[in-house]
Amino acid sequence: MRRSSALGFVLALALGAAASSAGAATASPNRVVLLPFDNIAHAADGAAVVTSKLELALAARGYEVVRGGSVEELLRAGRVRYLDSVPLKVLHELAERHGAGGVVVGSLLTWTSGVPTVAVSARLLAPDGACLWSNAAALAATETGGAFGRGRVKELELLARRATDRLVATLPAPADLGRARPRGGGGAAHVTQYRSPELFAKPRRLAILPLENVADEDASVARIVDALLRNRLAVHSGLAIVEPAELRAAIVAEGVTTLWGASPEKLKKVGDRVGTTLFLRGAVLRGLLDPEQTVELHLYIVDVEARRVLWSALQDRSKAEFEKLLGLGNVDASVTVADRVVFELVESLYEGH
Amino acid sequence: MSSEGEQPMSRSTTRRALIAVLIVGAAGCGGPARYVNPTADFSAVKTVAVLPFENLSGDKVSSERVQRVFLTELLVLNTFQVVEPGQTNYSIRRANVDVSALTADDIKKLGTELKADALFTGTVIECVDRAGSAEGSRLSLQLRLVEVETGQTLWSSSSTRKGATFGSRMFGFSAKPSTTVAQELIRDELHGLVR
Repeated sequence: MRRSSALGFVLALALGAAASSAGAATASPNRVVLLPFDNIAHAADGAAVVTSKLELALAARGYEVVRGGSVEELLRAGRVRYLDSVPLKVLHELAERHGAGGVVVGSLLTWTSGVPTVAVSARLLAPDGACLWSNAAALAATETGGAFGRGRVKELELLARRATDRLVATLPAPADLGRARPRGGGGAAHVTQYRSPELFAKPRRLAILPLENVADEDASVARIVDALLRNRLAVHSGLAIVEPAELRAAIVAEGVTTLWGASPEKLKKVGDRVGTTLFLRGAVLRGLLDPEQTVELHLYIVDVEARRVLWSALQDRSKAEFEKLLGLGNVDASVTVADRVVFELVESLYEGH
Repeated sequence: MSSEGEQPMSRSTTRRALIAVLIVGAAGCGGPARYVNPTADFSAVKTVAVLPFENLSGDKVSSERVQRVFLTELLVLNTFQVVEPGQTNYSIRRANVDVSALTADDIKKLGTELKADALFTGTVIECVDRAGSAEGSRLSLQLRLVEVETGQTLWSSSSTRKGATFGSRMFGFSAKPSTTVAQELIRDELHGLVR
């Protein structure tokens, strides 16, 4: 966790306390604003349920949670369309107006009833946009209960509660915020990768472009992996991640209609707006619906000014491999396998750095 | 010449048939078929671009997957400057070039725009993904390096790799997944090129 982020958090509290505008509330070190979940799973009920469950889970960790009317009013006024990331101005206003030191944004990744499965991701952002904490959690009903399926959780709502409890398990107590470190999940695996020494030669920002979905599945698959990737990258300090809201604004301003087909010149202009020449691109080659339950990703970072690839890596994991070789237990939520692949790729990016 | 009423065979179809014949021939001979142009000056090849791979297999995403494995292995090799793939794809669209039927003019046009000395092309002939079975995955791949200036083939290889191992055949262990098979095949072929 960056020291500047922790300082930002403290500064935000101080700013909140000193706020003189009529709408500003007195800052509380424990207070966070919780936004409604971004609904990647296209399950309206599910998004509402996990938002409520996360509120309870945050409260249990010692946070005072602000959500509902006044928050949604600010989101409407700021014309916020995607809830996984909000423009910096809106983020700052949300925190200041409610006297909060941070804003929690989350995404509902999976909400299925066949084999009941819930997957969620969330980030705690400081008013200056720095990520203070992030995590993702997935749970299938078949992963719960004991021998012969006794005590198995069958209701999605109960599963959502367990998934959100698992999600906040890595969230530090309010007094300890700013001390979080990249979370593990087993050691980093061998990943075939190329990395140019130029990548970390100087502090840089990295803009993450939407992943291509080569696996030809549900379009939301690429968004799920995108959310997992953002979470895993956010906790490393080597490359500062451009907030999606900031990138979206730059894309709109440059009139880019398709990012996959955008010319390098156009991407360079988008990069100028967000202060970087580095873009992360990639593809979901085999995804969450693969019959072999294998997730395979290719990620690469390009410098649009130098027109060079600075990092390229491929990794795949199957559900069976996850259980047997990695010894990480039974998993039926494909998002857990995808998160493992993302973890290994991100760890390989920072390996030795 | 085709008779009246018959559809003439397209250049692309002819090429595909030719590649298939070459591959079958190579497989029949039991090993990879490699060609190195005796007049080629590889020291002049500094910058290369990797074109999208052609797909003759039944697996509709195999060419995309194998091409990405190839790109990463080529970068790991650290022998050539590799044109950024986004730039390559953009230039192909802008030049309106059919990568499955490249003419010498197309190669020159594309290579000049990409500021590349040579272009890598690839064709996935067969890709069977059976990682969980004893017989394993199987990949047949043709690779080619073409000089931009002359349109001449500098290097080409056709090879087949199977994922079955001693353990998978004898004891029913899982064989190598298709990506590992692709990585090993491509690594060997590229090392053969730069040796």
